[in-house]
Amino acid sequence: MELAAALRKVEAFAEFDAQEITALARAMTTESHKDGHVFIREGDARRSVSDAVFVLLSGVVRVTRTGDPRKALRRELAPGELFGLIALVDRGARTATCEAVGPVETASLNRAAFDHLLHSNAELACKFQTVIARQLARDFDRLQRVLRDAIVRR
Amino acid sequence: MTTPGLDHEKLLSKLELLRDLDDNELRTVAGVTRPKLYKARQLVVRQGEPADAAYVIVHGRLEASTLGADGKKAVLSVMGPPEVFGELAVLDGGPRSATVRALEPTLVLAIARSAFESVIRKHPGVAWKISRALARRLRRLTERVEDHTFLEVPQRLAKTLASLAEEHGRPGNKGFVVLELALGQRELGEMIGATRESVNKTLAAFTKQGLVARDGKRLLVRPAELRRI
Repeated sequence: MELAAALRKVEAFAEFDAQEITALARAMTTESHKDGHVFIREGDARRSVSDAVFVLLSGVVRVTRTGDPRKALRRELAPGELFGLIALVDRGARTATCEAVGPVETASLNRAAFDHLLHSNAELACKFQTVIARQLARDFDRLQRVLRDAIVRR
Repeated sequence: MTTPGLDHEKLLSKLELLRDLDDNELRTVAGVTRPKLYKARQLVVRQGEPADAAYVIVHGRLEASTLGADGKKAVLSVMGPPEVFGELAVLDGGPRSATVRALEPTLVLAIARSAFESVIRKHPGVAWKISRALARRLRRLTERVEDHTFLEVPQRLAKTLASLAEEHGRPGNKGFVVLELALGQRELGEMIGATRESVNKTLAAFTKQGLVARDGKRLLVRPAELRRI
């Protein structure tokens, strides 16, 4: 399975065994998109079309915020990174816009598939939830550093 | 009679990151904490060192700071109970992002990373509950970053004073909130990344507008009005 092979290389899933990777791959959908495709739009409420979490498989995805004219929060994601986690976790509005820069391949997991996957396998659920918590913790840490740099630079 | 363990549980239940945990989960977390006492000015964690534990403040005040490119210290925040710091260490190691020092005699509860991993194994729902709290904090932090890169000194100072009042203040007379922190204009300047002079000018303007007043060492502020600046 091609997707399983790609997911096995994703660092976030390093602690998943072969069966868990297979289950994850089965629940996810691979998509190819052209330059400029918008995966997630800032402000979109839950239950929109984009109600999914994504793993970037190849290409670059740019993350931007409208209230950020100095681009302190702008970021370009590299293959292997997950995006769309905050709204998946708290079911709130999307916090940023994520769009393709050049051709991009992703694997997406919509909420129904995510819930189903977590309910069907307790061990996998625990690992996946830890992956999400760790990623959010890293994002939080990165943002704190951005804030710190903003304070220190003045 | 209360036991220290129960007090710790109560304290932990107040933490935003652990707010969604049930009593059973909180008891397990409380069981892996270790109390640590620090003297005034004593170093708790140093920026750049590997992070292996989170700390919950039981009593006392601490200051998180970092060194700028120019070698000047910048105060990032003043923390007190029941705040937690270094909490990302229990999920994701990596170097400490700031230096934390006690400002006064301080008691903290330390939670080692390995101990926290055992909590998650015992209670698989904990990771998800913490993710929810992290998501909330990420939303707020994102706005704070935007404020800092976008707002001018008066707005930054107003927001910072309002936050300090909301977190550390107690109700005073005439709608003021009393801030007992020994924060001078230099420290406030370090917190918002402005010079002492511009903090002085802005505070004078706030005083004239009735948003801020001095009472000896205490600072009296009106957080709701400051938030509207």
